[in-house]
Parts: sequence; C-alpha cells; structure tokens
Amino acid sequence: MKHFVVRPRSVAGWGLLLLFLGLIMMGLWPVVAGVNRARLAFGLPWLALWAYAIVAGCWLAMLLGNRWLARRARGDD
Amino acid sequence: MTSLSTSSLAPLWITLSYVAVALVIGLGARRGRVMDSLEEWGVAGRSMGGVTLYLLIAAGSISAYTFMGAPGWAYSKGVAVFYVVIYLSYLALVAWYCGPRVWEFGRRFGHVTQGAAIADRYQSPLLGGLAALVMSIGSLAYAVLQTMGSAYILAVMSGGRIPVWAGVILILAAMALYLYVSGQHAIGLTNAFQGVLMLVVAWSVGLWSAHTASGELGFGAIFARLQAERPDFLTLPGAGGDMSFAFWTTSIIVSMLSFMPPVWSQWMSARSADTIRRSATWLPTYYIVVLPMVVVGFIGILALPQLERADTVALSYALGHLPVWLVGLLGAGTLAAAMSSCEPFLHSVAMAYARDIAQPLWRLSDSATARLARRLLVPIMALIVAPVAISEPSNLVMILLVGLGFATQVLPAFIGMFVWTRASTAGVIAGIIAGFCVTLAFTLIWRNPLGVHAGFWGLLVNLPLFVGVSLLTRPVRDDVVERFFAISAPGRSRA
Repeated sequence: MKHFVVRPRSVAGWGLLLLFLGLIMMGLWPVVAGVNRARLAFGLPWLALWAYAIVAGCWLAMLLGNRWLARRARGDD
Repeated sequence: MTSLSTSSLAPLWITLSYVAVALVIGLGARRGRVMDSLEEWGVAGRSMGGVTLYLLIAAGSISAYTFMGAPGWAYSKGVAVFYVVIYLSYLALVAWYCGPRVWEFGRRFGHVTQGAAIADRYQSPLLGGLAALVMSIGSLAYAVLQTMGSAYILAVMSGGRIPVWAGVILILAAMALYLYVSGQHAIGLTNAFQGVLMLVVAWSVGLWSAHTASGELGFGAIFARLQAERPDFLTLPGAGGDMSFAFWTTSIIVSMLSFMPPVWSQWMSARSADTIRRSATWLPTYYIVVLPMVVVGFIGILALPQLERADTVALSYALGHLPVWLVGLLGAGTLAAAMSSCEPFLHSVAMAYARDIAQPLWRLSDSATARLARRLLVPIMALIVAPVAISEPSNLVMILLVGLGFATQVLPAFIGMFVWTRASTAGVIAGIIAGFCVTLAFTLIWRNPLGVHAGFWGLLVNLPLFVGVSLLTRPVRDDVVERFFAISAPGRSRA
C-alpha cells in the first residue's frame, strides 16, 4: 500500500485543525508570556483569566467542529 | 499521620454517608445485567449516554489533587496551578478527535483494552502486553496515591479515630465491592454522583471561604490584596520560582499526550462515537470546579502563612473557619475526587492483566478472561495497593512521575493508529524503550534538565527514533493497516 500521514481533506477540516493548533499555542510559551503580568481583570489574575479563556475556546471550537461534522454528514460540505 | 483534626463527629458522619451512598449506587448500577464478559464488565456493554459519559470522564480526571494538591500549589507557587486547567481542556480536544476512532476500533475489532488495540494494530501480543504491564506501574502508583489521600481525609474527619490502615481498608473494600459486582457500570454511575458532588462542594467551600476571608461573595478582593502584598504569586515562575515558561509549556504538552488506559476504557463505554464527541465538547465546562478550590489556596497565603504542608491548606482553612457541616462536605468532596479517579485505574489494571497479559500467555477463553479480570481486583487491592498505601512510601510520587512519563512515551503506538500508516512494530518498540530510558534518567538522576519536563526530553529522543526505525523496518501487514485507517482516515485507506 502507499503509506501516508493523515491530514484534513477540506478547507473546513484545515480550518478546524488550525483552530485547535491555535488554541494549543495560546496555552504555551511564548504566547503565555504576554499575559504573565501581576494584573487583574474581572477580579482574577490575568493568567487565570487566560486559562479560562482557553477553556471556553476549546469548548467553542469543538461545538464548531460538531456543526461542521453534522453538515458534512448531510452532504453540505 | 496528620496533625489536623476536628473534635466534632459531624464531619465524619457526613463523609461516611457519602461512602454509603456511593456504595449503594455502585452496587445498584448492575441492574440485573450478567457480568460474565469483558464487554459488559469492562466497557459497560458500550452503552453509556452523553451525560453519564461527561461526568465519568470529568470526575475521573479530577482527583484528590483538585481538593488538596491544587490549593497547595496555589498556596506555594501561585497562578502556576492554572496549567492544570489548560491541559485538561487540551485533553478534551484529544478525546474529541481520538475518542470516536477508539470507540469504532472497539466496536469493529472487539477491543476492550488499550493493550488489545496496540497488539492488534502492530500484530504483536508482546507489544500489547508490554505496554499494558508498564502502563500499570503508573496506574497503580496513581491508585495508591488516591487511596492514601482517602485514608488521610478519613483520619482528619474522624479526629484520628480512624487510623490510616483502617481508612485504606474501608475505602478499598467499598470500591472492591461495587467494582466486582457492577464493573464499568459502577464507575459510570458513581462518577456521575461524585462529579455533581464535587462541583457543589468546591463552589460552596470556595465562596464561603472567600466570604469569610474578604466579606465578599466573590474572589476579586482576595486577588486585589494579593496583588498589593504578594504580586509574585500572580505571575510565572511563581512564588517558589520553580515554574519557568519551559516547565509550564513542556508539562502541558506531556500531560496532553498521555493516553492513560482508563480513558481508553471510558471512550469505549460510550453508546456511540457521536456520544463521545458531544461529551468531549462539554468537558471543558466542568473544569470550573478547579477555580474555587484554588482560591482557597490563595486565601491561605494570607490567612495561614506558616503551614508545614502546602497540600493541607484547604483542610486547614476549612477546619479553622468553616461550619462543621461544610467541613464534612469538603471531606466527602475530597473523598469523592480520590475515589472517582482511583476506581477507573484499579479496574483498568485488572482488565489489562487479564486481557493483555494472561489471555495471550495462557490462551484463556474470553469468558475465563472476564472471570479472571473481576477476581484480580481483590489481589491487586489486597497485595499491592493496600500494603503500599499503608506504608506511605516517600518515593511514591517519584514512581508516579516515572509511570506517567512512560505513559507519554507510548505516543508512537497511537501515532501509528491515528496519523501515520508507516509506523512499524520495531519503530514503536525502539521509540518507547529509548523514550522511557531518557524519562527515567531525567526523573531519577538529573531532574528536568534546563527546566524542561523529563517526559518531553523522552519524546525528543523517542519520536525521531520511532520515525527512523519505522522507515528502515518492515511495515505492519497492509490489510491490518487498511483496517485501522478505514476508521482513522475514511476514504484514504486505499491509495
């Protein structure tokens, strides 16, 4: 057989992969260094708020992924 | 074992009531089903619905660490503790992508354990058994730590009346009973109960503590005071100076790539692939459970500056400042966290020993393997977990770190299932062994060189070796690879 590395096969698939990778980058250095300040927002330290922004981002990204999969299953994509 | 204690018996009764409720739920989870197959006892007949699966995975990932260790990290290091919330969310992304594929592997090929899937993909029972055996080291160390945490809570809540050995036996006996009778069904329902309990307890304790400490029903005043008095707790590398950006980043990556066996079983217990996807989607929402307990740790920085052990900060603050009923609920919540993450590990070790090691070794039938898995629970608890937990070894955390470091080194086996068709058996074995040796050396001898997590160093050696050896050695049979990638990459398995 001809061997391969699995990768997305549609624009939406690539978009979702980039979104996932972007969310992962948000939690790592150097991005996290940008919010590493002893400041507060909405009563929480910046880093704590950033962590929960990532949590919300992951949740929204997967919701988006589910919608895309549902559309693909219906044959719209 | 503990200098903390309470003179009132109310917290103890509340905590013991939780154990009784968990026992009743666990035993009742069987609901007349016959537990004579690993399909039923091991993966609940692949029948779990979305809400149960959500709480099963969520509660399973929230251990006693959230109620003791995380406040302790906040107390000693500060905001560095939030790396946990981030990697747990990334684990949800991993579950969203890999979980439905693992479920489909199990449904089509009959896998009930992670080791069985590895053995099938690489046509090597040896590799499957080896992975299962070494994964079990980390799993058992984890189960022992959670059991020790449970016994500690009982000792504190009883004011020392329940010694550690008795607490260990009590908790293990309760779990053994319902795990033997109801298997994964018990884990599903008890985790659902424990998951809800933990959420309620964490927010009740967090808000009450915040109100006691600042007079406000929110966390803003506490952080404002910390910003003024101890700003070093609000940034990396933290107050202890030991959470550098390098360690933060590599810890998240290593934790995100650890495919622990119980998680595999949880995915395979779902009713459908779509159920896993929906549960994984909502999983990050559960991690708001961490925030209020972490805030108690931050309160402790100002209120309890002289604590000897950082991981007792939540209990110490509760015993000194909260009403007894809330202390009892904290005991129940902490016990729920410990048990909900301990029981899946014990269950998966019993399954792995029976299915991935004993069955291929002695050519057991499926029904004999299922009987063996259930019966192995008791010796695993009585001969390994209980004695080790009672002896409270000082190097257990080290064993756990090595075990979890190894879990990450199994990554090549999963790359060959989900991503790369050319992964060969020899490549996977070479990568795992090299990665494990490096992780072991950088955990025991030269700890986390340059502030980089030992498991990450292991991956830096593991992955190139895995790719190189795979390219130089014979690939796995085409029909096997096509079978797996018809699921992992539908429409692309035949080129």
